[in-house]
Amino acid sequence: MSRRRTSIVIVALMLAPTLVLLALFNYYPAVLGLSRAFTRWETGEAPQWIGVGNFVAMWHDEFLRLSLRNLFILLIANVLKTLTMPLLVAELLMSLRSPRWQYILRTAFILPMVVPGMVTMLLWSFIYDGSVGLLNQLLEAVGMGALARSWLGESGTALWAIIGIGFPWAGGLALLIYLAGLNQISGDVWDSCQVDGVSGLRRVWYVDLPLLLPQVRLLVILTLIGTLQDFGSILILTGGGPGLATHVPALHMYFQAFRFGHLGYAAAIGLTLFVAIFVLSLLNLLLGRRLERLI
Amino acid sequence: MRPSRNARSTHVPLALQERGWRRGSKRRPRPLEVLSWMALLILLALSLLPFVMMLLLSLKTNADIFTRFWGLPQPARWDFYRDAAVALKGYLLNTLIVTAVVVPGVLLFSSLSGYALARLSFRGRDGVFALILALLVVPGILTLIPTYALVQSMGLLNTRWALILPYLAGGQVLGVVLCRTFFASLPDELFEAMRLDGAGDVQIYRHLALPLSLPTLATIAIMTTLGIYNDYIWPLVTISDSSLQTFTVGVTRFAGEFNLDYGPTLAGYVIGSLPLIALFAIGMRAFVQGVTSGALKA
Repeated sequence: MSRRRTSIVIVALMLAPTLVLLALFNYYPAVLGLSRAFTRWETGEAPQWIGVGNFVAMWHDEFLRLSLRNLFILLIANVLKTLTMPLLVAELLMSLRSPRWQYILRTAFILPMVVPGMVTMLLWSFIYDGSVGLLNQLLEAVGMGALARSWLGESGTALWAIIGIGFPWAGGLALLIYLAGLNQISGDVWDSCQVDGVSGLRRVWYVDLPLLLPQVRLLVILTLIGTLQDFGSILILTGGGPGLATHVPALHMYFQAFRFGHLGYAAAIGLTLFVAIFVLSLLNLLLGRRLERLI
Repeated sequence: MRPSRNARSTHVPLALQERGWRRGSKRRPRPLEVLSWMALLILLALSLLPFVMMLLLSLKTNADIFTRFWGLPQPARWDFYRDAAVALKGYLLNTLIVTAVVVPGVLLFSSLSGYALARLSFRGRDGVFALILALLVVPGILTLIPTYALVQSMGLLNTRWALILPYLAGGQVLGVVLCRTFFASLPDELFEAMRLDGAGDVQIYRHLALPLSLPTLATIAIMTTLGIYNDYIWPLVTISDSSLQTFTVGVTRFAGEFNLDYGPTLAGYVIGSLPLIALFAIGMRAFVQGVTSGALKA
């Protein structure tokens, strides 16, 4: 294509709104987030450079250590959730012979996606409600009323209740991504599986899963990044409690900044979470490529 | 972006056609397929149960809920919906105002920048794009506190600008990337033809690039709206005046107005879900229309 240089004035005018806004509200805070993590910075005071002081304090922070345990449980649980139920439903949908019913059921499964996230959270806090919660009512209906309790209010069950949100975890983005991946596997591949007598779980394990590796990688990294950052739902459901039963590092950051005014310390926690996300993304990229080459 | 291969029921993926669709229903269903159906229906029932119960219980008084939890409402209290709508109206309006300012702005600025980065030649073009791409890996958790400090120092806390400006900036990261990718994928001949006819860059942007990019813009609009509607933490920390507060924060507080009556509270949840349902109903159609319109196949 023959390219003429465009007048720099037009280019500048077209790019200016984007660049000014991004510089102010995205670049500047990102740089600030990196630098202020190394300062003692309390609300309403000027930041003072203290080097790695905040990170030393993090190392000795008992609350943070306890919250890491919860984070690990959540990370493992959420990855397992994305890797199992949506894949199962996608495979079941693909096994239906009528494309029309396949389409109708797929739509029904992703229907909960159009409900606002906050409404879903509040609905689940009602489901776990100690008095008229749906879960307790279900247990009573099947004669297990003795198990009824305030699921989010007891430290023994609160974290598991949070993991249980969205049960049976079948729909959503993961289902759509798996279906798109399965649709890309050519019919020939499955036909030759049938000829060779490879069917059911064996086909899923030896044929579908290796071919779905790109989708699996994407979903795993999205889940890890999402879980590391999310604290809004926990803030709404339990506030990290009871005690520290559902406390996580991101929530710790929020409390340090907006409840106690330790902005510098909170920025250090934020920076650490960013580094964790960055390293995980890098690992996903490098290990994933190697895995794909092996297959 | 590509349209889903079975976006419409008439459009049967080839793989499916080969694997039994043509065989039709004359054959008896295999036992395996019966099992699939049973598993799917059980899982679907479990997935939708909370939402069905939300609709059912939203029409019942507390007494009705406590005594006959699973029964149909007697009588159905449709007035709960009016009460909930009155209580939530202000919050919903605030979200609407913010969205109505942010989304057109994101679309305009993203398409302008995307056009410049894809179709104009100037020094440093790739560098500018790389700088914007780099922002995709900066997570919100890193910038939350500095952005708060910035908005505070600008004196914007507890104003609509505290929401509008950061959303306007943040929405453009993905917006510019999507627009640039789309404009770069268009055939050069289209642009050359207009140039030969004597059109300038602004006219080409306005009459060629913008109309063609409607499906991309619809996608960006849907994602930006979803982001604003579902954001909880940012309005929670920047807006203290409840007359400026958005729906997502407001809905967590409005239950108190009903003395712990579950019915009107759940009715409020239903009302708050309607805008997003409407968005998907409208947006998806525009999206599919844009993709299937003749211009792209030319």
